[in-house]
Amino acid sequence: MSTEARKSPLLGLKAPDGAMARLSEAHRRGMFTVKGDLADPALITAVQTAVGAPPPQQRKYVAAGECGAIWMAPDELLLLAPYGEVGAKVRLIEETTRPGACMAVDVSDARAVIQVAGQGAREMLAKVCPLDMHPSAFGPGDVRRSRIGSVAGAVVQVSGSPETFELYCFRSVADYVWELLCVAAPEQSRIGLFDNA
Amino acid sequence: MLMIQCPCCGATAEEADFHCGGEAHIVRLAGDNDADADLGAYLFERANPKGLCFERWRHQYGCGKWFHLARDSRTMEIFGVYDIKAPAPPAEIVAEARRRIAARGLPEHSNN
Ligand SMILES: [Zn+2]
Repeated sequence: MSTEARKSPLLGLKAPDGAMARLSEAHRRGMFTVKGDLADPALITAVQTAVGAPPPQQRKYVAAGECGAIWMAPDELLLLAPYGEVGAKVRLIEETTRPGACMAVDVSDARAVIQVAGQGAREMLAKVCPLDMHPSAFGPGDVRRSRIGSVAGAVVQVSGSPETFELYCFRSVADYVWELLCVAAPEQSRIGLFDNA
Repeated sequence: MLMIQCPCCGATAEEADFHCGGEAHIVRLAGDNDADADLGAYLFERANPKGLCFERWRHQYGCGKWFHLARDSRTMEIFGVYDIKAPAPPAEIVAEARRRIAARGLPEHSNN
């Protein structure tokens, strides 16, 4: 369990000029994994108490103030909270569910979060992920875990206006994902794939 | 490229998001007293059919779960996906596969 914040995995890397979307890092985001039966009433209540929202539906994301929840798998959530509050929230989940019924672990330092925002964000992501990024297939609140270039990552649309996405990847490959996005970024390469969608 | 719908998370994704775990429904041996030949067959001998086949797949880059998939190894057509715990292919998926293979004028399995 982390007692002090790690350094950003993206130190020394800067956002590209002339990009079709803005790149930034959501550094020091608190994250904890909860594994268990997502239909268990005790677990639903525990999640609601910890982050202020019930477990999201399949492949969905919900935000609640500074907290949030991402559906990762049929038995797994990634819960979001301010970095310094994760320890207390993990204990809350452990104490209000049946022993052995679920598992909560602080993974704040496991992953990096990269934000991609702006009108060209959707097209930029379509270049690096094998996902259908058409607005009719992927909208605000949607979550997909897939590949970003050649590494595993989750794509979450956190806002529809302005269009804002967050990419979750392991911090060991965050610089790769960042540089991949920089390659996909130049405004001159934009073809307006989803402009009239 | 296969497009596969994962029955565990409902997402339709590219083949590259999945990992094929090989032939499905291989029956485990009893345990401690197996003959060497039986163990060898269990570990290594596969039917590798040209035609209708049943495989285990994992949604590796997605939800991480295992499931079963029925497809035709000649045409790459996918006939259905089903629960990883099923001990045998569900009758409705077998029937659907046979119907669609016959509609193409193909036998269920081809030689060689
Ligand atoms: Zn899946």
